[in-house]
Parts: sequence; C-alpha cells; structure tokens
Amino acid sequence: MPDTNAPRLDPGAPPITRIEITGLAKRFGKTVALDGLSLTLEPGVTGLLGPNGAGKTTLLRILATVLAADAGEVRYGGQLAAGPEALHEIRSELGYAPQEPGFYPNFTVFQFIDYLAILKEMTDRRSRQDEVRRVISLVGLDEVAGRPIRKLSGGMRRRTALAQALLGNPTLVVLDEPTAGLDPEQRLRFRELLSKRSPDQIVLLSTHQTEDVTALCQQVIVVDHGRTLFNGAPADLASTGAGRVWISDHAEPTAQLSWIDGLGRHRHVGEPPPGAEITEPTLEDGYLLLVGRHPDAEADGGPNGKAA
Amino acid sequence: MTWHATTDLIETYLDGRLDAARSGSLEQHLLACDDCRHALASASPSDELDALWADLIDSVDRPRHSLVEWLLHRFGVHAHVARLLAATPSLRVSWLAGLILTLAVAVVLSIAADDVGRTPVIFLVITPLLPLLGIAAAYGPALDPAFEISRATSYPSARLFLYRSMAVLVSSVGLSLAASTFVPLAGWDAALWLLPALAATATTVALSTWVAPLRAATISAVGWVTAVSASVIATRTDPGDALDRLVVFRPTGQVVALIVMVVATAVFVVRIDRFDAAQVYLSDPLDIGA
Amino acid sequence: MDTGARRQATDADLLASVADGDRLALRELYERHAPWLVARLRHRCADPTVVHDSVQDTFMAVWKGASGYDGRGDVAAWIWGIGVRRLIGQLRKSPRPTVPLLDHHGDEALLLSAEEQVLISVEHGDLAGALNQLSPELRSVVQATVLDGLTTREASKLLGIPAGTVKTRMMRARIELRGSLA
Repeated sequence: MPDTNAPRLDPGAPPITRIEITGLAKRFGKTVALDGLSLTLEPGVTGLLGPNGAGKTTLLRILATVLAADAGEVRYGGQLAAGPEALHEIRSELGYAPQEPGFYPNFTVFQFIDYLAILKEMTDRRSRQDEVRRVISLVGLDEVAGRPIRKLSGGMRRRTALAQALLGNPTLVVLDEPTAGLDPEQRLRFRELLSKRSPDQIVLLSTHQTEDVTALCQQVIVVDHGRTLFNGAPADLASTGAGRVWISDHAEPTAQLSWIDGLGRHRHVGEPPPGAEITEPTLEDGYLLLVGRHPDAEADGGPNGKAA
Repeated sequence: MTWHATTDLIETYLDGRLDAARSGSLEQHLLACDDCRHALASASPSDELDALWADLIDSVDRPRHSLVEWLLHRFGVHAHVARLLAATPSLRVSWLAGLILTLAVAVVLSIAADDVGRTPVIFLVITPLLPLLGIAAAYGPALDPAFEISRATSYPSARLFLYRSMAVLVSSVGLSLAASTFVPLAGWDAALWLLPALAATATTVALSTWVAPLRAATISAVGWVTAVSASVIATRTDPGDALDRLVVFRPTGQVVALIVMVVATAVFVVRIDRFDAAQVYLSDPLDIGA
Repeated sequence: MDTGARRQATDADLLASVADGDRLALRELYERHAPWLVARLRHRCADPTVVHDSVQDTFMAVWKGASGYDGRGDVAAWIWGIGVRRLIGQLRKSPRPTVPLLDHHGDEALLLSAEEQVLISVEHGDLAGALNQLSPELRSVVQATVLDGLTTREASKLLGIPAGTVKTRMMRARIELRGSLA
C-alpha cells in the first residue's frame, strides 16, 4: 500500500491514530457472537486469530461500521461512529474487504472498483480512474481488469475486494480472511503489498493461519467465544507456551492437544509429564494452548450455544 | 530479414524529408520487421505517444454506459450519480421489463372486468404497489450483492437511498401513467392511483428511518391493501359504482392520501440522520461464519 | 504472462491475450505498433489531431476486436488496415478533407551510402526512381491503392477526389511507370 501520490479519501478528515474497543457485545437471536470484547489497535499490521465461530467476522463488521453492536464502544482516534458527520469522517478513512464479497456479476473488475470509488466520493473521473488503475496494479489484476467478475476465480475475486479496500490509501484497513484461497506465490505478493503500507496505516486482518501472523503482523489478537484471549506481540504469544510443549513418540492422554508433526513425531501442548522432551514453543503452540482446539475445528457447544 | 533501416533513414522518414519511393519502401518493410519497428519507436518523441496512451486507456477503461445511465445523463443527472443509479437492481432493464409486464397484466384484467360490466378497479389497486416493490429492491442486502461493501463507504447512505427511490418512483409512475391510457376508465379516473402511490412511497421512505426499506415497503403495501380491502368489505352490499363506493378513490380518500404524502415526507426529512443507523444489516447467524 | 514473457511474445500471442481482456498485452502492442502507425498516418494527413484520433480509434478497435484477427498475415498489416480506414473515417467527419499528402521529392541532405543505394534498387528495381518522377497527384494514387491497400472508393475518400479520377490517374501512372521502366 504505497502512499506515493495516492489521494487521501477526505483530506479534511482527521487521521485515525488508534482504535479503542471496549466491552463490545453482539448477539443474533440466541447466539452470542461477541461477549464483552475489548482491544486496542495501533498503526501497523494486526492479526486477528481465532477458530471458526469465534466472532472475528462480527468484530470486523462492527469495526467497518457495517453492523451495529448491541453494547460497548468503538473509538476511532477518540471519536465514536455516531451520527452522520462522524460516520462520514470515519468511513472516509476506512477500507473494508469482507470475507464473502458480493459483486454485480456483469461488471468488469475495473467497473466494479470504479463504482466503489464513486461511492467513496471520488467524483473527478480522470483522477478516480487513475486511482482505480493504481490499486488494480497493486494487487496484480492488470491482466483481468477488463474481464467480468463472474468469470474470475475465487482468489481473483478476493483480490478485487482487496483492491477496492485500498482505494484512496485509507488509514484504517479491515480485511476479513484476505489470505484464504491464495496460493503461496499470491501470499508472498500480499506480504509485499502490506510491507509497502504507510507507517500510520492501521491494518487489521483476520486469519485462520498462524503462519500469516508470524510473517505479517506486529501485533496479534486471539479471540474465542466473542472474547479477547490475548493481545500483544506474536513472540509473546509464542512464549506463553514456554515449558508447555513437548515431543514424544507416542500418544499422551494428559496432553491438552496432540498432533503428528511433519517429522512423524507426536507434538503435545499442555502440562508435560516429568522427564518429557520439552521443545521451543511456536506461535501456533501458544495459540492452541489458549484456544484449546485446532483453528479449523467447528465451534464447540459453549455455554451460550453455537457461537457465531 | 537481411535488410534493415538505418537510424538516418528512420529519422529522415520521421521528419517527413524522405522521398515517396523510399518512404513507401520503408513502410512496407515496417509491416514485417519488428526490429525496425523498435528502432522507429526509439526514435519517436515519447510525449505525444504517452499522451495518446493516456487518452486510449481512459477510453478503454471507461465503462460502457448502460441504457439507463444514458437516459439519466440526458436528463441532466451528473455522470457519477447516474452510475450509482444505474447499478440499482430495480432500475435494471430486466426489472423494468417485469414492471411493464405487470402493468400489462393489470390493464388486461381491467379491460376484462370492464367487459363483464364491472368497474376496473383492479388496476388502481395494483399500481400503487409497484413503486414500493422497486424501493424495497433498490436498497438493501436482499437484491444488492455489493451491499455490505457499499455500507463501509462514505457516500451518505440516506442520499443514495433517496436518489434510488426517486428514480424508481419516476420510472414506476411514468410507466404506470402510460399504461393508464389503456384502462377503460373515464378521463382522470384512470389516474386515481397516483396520489395513493405517492402516499405509499412517502410512507415507505419515512418508515425507512426506522427499519430497512424492505420491511418499510412491506408495511406500506400491507397498509394499502388493508385499507382497500376494508373499504371493499364495508361497502360490498352498497349499490353503485366501485369507484364511488371505495373511499380511497373518492375525493375524501384522495385528499387523505395527499396529506399522508406530505406528512410522511416531512417525517423523513426530520429523521433523515437516523436512516443509516436504521439499516441493521444482519440478523441471521448462519450468514456470519467466523 | 509476466513482463519478460510479454516482451518476448509474438504479436499474435499478444492479440490473443488482448481478446481475453489483458490490458498489459494491449500496452505492449501499443508500444510496438503505435509509433510507426502515427508516423505512417502523418505521412497521409498533416492534421495531428486527426491522426491522434485515428490512432486512438485504431487501438480501441484492436482492444474490442482482437478476436477478429484471423491469423493470416502480419499483425502489423492487420493494424494498418484498421488504422488507414479509421483515418478515412475521421477525414469524412471533417468539413473539408485535410491536406492529404506531404509532398516531397527527396532530400539532398540525406546521403545514402553506396550499399544502401544498391540494396534499395535491388528491392524495387528502378521503380523507386520511376515512382519519384511521377507527379504528386499520380504518386499519391499509387501509394494509396498499391502500397496502402485501399480500394478505389477508399482511396477517393482519403485523397478527397472522385473515384473516377482515382481510376484515371492510376491508369496514367501505370503508363508512365511502364514507360520509365522500359
């Protein structure tokens, strides 16, 4: 996200310097999606890690002003998103790419992003289209810019959604599972893209995959059952597993979680028995200790029923 | 390819100082030789070519105007607003075609009713519902696949909703007026649906500051149908023409419709700032995933 | 296709990509062919705006109609066919046809090497000299019909003369050329 000559969406809007979320709650019928979630976001890339049903998408939607919370506050640089002026200012500095982006199927990539650029109030056609071309190049969709979206693969559609989120170089960029469905080369490209962001940009991206966090994020937040379980540096998350990760050649019923690593040995997290072969904890270990189950597992039945 | 043009030859050609024969020779050669084309490109001034490219890519990227967009442009609507409107689900050609079909059916039914000696009220009852359908479809997640992404943009949602609703209203009313000319009712009687339609639309727009347009339109539609049905049931044993019996189509009813329209519009204007917050987006947890 | 592959690709391959909506392929084609097209059209019409619009229209036509290239002949020739017809179309729109041809008889300042002289005459025999000795009116007709591949009608539109005149001048040009070459 280079900040070269790209226009800020609304030059009059005050830049958002940090995001403070306190006590966010949201339920859908009987399902509790967010249960008093709090966190702070600073400039840089923050990874939102959590299993299916943890509440990540709900959180991102509320942050992107697409959904209203039942209770709690989100302050954008001290300001609440209440009332049309505040909403307008905040949305002028916001870029959002949902997990399942919807498109007008007959629109081409260029047309769709241009349409969103109009909705971002870039009224001058020439400069707007220059900006559209810029973000299309950024995500590597030049070759298919003229193609209708319905003819594109899922990964390319995601990149289209990502491109529109980058229009105007917004201060706050909210991305829901941006790396899902990307092949390794595209991930690398995504990493490069993120590395070009301007220093005051706040990027929040959700992911299932701990490798994304290790590679991309200065800050990681772990959520589950609608609550924050960890908020800090990736290295600190890893070190929460210190002394609680061990390897053996057989199953260990006392382990909290076990799996077979790439070398065919059993890796366990939890309370190690005496004499166990303790090993260096990875970020994934720290995460699993917190969450207690594998990220791709279906949400278990918590006290409030299936979390959304 | 053994013969290639020298730099001198190319430069002389570009200056226009090369004689006709050798120009012709070079030009034929260029059709077949990539190296010499490249050499000519290097010798050509880049400003003009860059400017040309900028114009070209602008045209290439300029999205094709749909018919709706073109029409709007003709009516003096700003280019970018026309683009926003043209993306409205209920202004698409397919939707408008459906509208025309519905009107055609309503006209046919009224003619049929007239033929058997009954007053063709059916047309007057159906027509006010049409703009409501259009508004429900114009703004909201039901028919707009890009709704979620659009919500996060800074364009004032109330303005977008209003523009789209007005465009829908104009197209519905326009088509309905045209259809009215085929309805076998005397003079202005064929347009007795107009004030109820405007009233129902205004009500929908006003209610959208409390609930989503889809729900607002449903409420208005139900309200209208209820009013008409109640009127029909209450007067079914009364003698006389349906138009005279049903209060909604009598002068009193028309005045009431006018008042409703004015009041509802005022309500919307007063509550316009609450529109955005009223668009509660999701209610289905299965829709949410993680 | 990455940049390197694009540079290496044949024109036909690039056209296939363009047919698929690849704007970068269009850019590559533009870089290869716009310079000579501009120059060649400038040699037929002195008005730079008309030439600019014609070239723009041409590449728009390439963008939209890339699938129309049937694979026969050079892509450059195909592009020329489009370009010269766009020029004619543009000239028709102007109230008066603009000056069609830069008249020139050769440049004393350009000294050809002996080798070049030999090569050129090998390519065209004495035709070059004979051609240069034709009057501008006859020469422009020969250029339009023989070199540019236009029909009589198209040539008449380009040069701003009636079709009958094109035919008579062509006949006279042939007689003169035969006479010179004999």
